[in-house]
Amino acid sequence: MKIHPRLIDVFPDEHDGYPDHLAAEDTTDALRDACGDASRDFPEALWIEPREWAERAAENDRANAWAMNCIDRYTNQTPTHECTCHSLRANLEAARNRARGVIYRDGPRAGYRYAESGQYGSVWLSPLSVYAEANPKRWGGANVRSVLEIAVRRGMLPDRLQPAEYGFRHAMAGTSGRGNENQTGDSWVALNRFPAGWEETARLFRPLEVIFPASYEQAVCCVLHGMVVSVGRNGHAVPWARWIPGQRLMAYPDSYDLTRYDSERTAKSAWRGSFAIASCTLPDDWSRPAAG
Amino acid sequence: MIRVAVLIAVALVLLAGVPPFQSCAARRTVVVGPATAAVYVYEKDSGPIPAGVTVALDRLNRDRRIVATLLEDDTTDGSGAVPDQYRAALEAARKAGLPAVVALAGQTVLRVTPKPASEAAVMEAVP
Repeated sequence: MKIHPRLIDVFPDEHDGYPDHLAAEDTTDALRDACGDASRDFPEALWIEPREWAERAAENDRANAWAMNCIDRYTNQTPTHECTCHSLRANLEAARNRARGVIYRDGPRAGYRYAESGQYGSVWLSPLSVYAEANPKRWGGANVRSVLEIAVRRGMLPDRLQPAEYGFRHAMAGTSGRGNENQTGDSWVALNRFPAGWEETARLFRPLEVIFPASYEQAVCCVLHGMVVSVGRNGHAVPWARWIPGQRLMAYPDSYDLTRYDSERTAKSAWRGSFAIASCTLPDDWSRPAAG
Repeated sequence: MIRVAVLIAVALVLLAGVPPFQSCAARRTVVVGPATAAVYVYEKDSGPIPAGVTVALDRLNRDRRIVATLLEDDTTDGSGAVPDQYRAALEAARKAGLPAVVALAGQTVLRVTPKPASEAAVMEAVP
């Protein structure tokens, strides 16, 4: 698998969703405090010796067992500063789809909707539903600490657009940016304009256990075990969802309708302030995700 | 008269295909249908989910068309309770020891298989 160099270590100038002054606040201790009871250390049982990473990656390739295979769509935040929340939604959706036990063989595909998304209860969440509270001023981004605290405390609302008719009583636009065929793009919505009673629905989609890697190696282990690791670096937050051994790259579904890659050098500079959602709230009945 | 009654009873039992000394409980087990759901219940701190388990769940969902899922031991629904669909599976798995695959017909536990580590082991665990 040869990756084109133009897709590696891409840091466009317009990325202002995770500026340095916000990133500086995202220490591991601050994130742990923000998550409260949901905070978890990296479990020792999940450690994989670096010499075994390539073997485990090959096994994941054969089994389609990456977090990337639990992500069934891209999002498109253009031109907003919502990146930390788009990374969060990939993390939470992947955790939920992983629990559902269905593999999306090619991962997210631009301009494509999996029939399986609707058949197996995939729910598309709204990054805007968190960002609107994390940064009421709309522009300037949000730090990971804020968006995680919000998601753990009260959850995320579903996008108005879903792969099946689930009958959610509360939903909203996915982004105030462009969106795409699998994400609603619409006007900015302030928190006080959310649909009445929205908390009842948002509580259905919350992280329950969040692992904070204490090293680059632990972050790689989380990815090798099929979890998304959300990181912020160079002004932009992204969800690592696959590790490629040959070039030692981290692949992520970028919130611009495509997959991009971080080099090992970039990844080693980015793991601080990273997190992986190990488990999340699940429905009482997978066929009725709106019912609780 | 008694002999005739006994002969008729034995004939009826044989026609029904039920062994004459099988208990009511055993007969209930016989009439339960094939699995409608399978749950791999695990505790994330205790070890990884084998890649083969992921493959097996996908196959069960697509090929067998049953609801085959993962459940972390501490998972709740939005209200903080164990999700309704997982109550029976979680109780059975905890009794057997985690990780375990629980095969169910509705909310009836058909089989509990501790520590399945491969695709084949999970497939065999679901009747």
